[in-house]
Amino acid sequence: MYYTDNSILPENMEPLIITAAPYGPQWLPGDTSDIPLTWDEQVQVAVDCYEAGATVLHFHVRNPATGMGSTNFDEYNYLLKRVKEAVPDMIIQVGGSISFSPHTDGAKAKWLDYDTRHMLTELDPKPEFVTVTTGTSLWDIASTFTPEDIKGTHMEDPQVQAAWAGMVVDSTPAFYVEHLKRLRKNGIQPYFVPCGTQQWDLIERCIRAGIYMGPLNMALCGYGGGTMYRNPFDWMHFLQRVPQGSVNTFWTSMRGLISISAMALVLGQHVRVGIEDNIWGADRKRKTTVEQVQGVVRLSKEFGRKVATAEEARRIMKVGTWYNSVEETLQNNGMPPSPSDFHPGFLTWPTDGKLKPAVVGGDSHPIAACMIAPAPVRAAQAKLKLATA
Amino acid sequence: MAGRITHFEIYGDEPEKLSAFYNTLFGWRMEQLEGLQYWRMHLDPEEPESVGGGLTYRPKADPKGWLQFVDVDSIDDSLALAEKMGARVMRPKTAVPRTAWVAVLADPSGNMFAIWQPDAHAFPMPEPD
Repeated sequence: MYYTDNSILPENMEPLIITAAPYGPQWLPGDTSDIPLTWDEQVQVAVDCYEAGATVLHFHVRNPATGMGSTNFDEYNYLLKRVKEAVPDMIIQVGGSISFSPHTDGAKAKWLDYDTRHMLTELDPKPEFVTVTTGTSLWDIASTFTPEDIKGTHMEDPQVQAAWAGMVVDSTPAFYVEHLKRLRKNGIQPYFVPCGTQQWDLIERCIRAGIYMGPLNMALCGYGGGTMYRNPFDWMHFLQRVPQGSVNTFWTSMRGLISISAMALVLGQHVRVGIEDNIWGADRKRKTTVEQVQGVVRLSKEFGRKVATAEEARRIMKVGTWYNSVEETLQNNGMPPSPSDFHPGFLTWPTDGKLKPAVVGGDSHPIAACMIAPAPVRAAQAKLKLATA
Repeated sequence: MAGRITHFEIYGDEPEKLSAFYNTLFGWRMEQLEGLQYWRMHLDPEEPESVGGGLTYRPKADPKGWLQFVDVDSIDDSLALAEKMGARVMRPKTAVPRTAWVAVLADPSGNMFAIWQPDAHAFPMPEPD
């Protein structure tokens, strides 16, 4: 990304896109006052966030009967339909990595040995975006929490912290290469979620290898604990690395989100707020998602940057746009052409979306499993070995 | 009230068909909850809004047969006492949000039943996903 003299003046920036993340799957009632549970509450919170100024909804589904995050495909479709009816202009970004549990005989048969995260690509009605991670990472969201951050919440329990400290987002090429293909086939755009520049590198390789051909919408995740921390130089370095045509949203947690959001705001980037990330205001009092959206709107007004309407957000993020060649993708995203000797490497390996049997690594090196190439590659390697023998 | 049967649940792999089965057999009014694969069973035509139980997909560990729910004052105390007397926990304590705490046990002879502690503040513990 390139900044010239006047880039940091608000009138030269695109309007601010506010993403609301109001579903807060990690909290209990009492931790926050605004956990939506019933279907009506889960719809109403989307309406309230939209009316407060958020144009993108980070979407999760809570089963009202169990209170737990839903893994039921039909429930996702049900709530998507209701939210789309209630706020038709709001852009829906479904949180990825949901391993659905197929219920019907047909669905069980269809998805028997497949990675059921790919069911996200078949949601109906279609959301505009599904978040996509590229690269497996530890997401220890508890690592940046101070005692003050979690005071009075169930997260004060060290056992709860330990459980969250072990959260791993699993996204090897066998998953995301296939997932990107299926998203394209079904007309749902990926919303990339790199948690550092190394994962931007993987996205770039997807583009240069022709695996992804579309606009670049990204949420830079800095929750710490395996994802980027809050060192401003890291965030600046990320901006330095990503192309001019990318649209970037900054995500971090707790009160750190307030500072990082302010940073995004004045740098012409975009923000995500809500109880999924933070439950506090700058005054160290609890804040609901809607209050956090209202806070960002106030801050943006003080700075002089317009808050995006839904129509503007769709234009900025190029909702519904796809490209048909690597060159067209590079050009539209402000990326230089590939060097003549660019080699896409493993990304050209075929994948099929099927679950692979777990490979147990020896000598306390489970990562060794990652070094075993998929079957088609092993066949190609054997062929090569024969040819050169 | 503690010790009384509050309701029961019926499970099946095809709950919609099973719902029709009981509707035809007993005349129970089966009401599917909006957006969920869960049917409320209204057993008493004299009190059409009263709920006698529910019908849904079968949880993994549960038996074939109707599952009776028994009201208790403290689910934690009842779980501890039942286990001390040789019962096995088949489904650990969880919440029906804003309604009750529930757990499924098998008695020393393997008969399964559920215990149910009403609690308007009940909510399940979030899990990393």
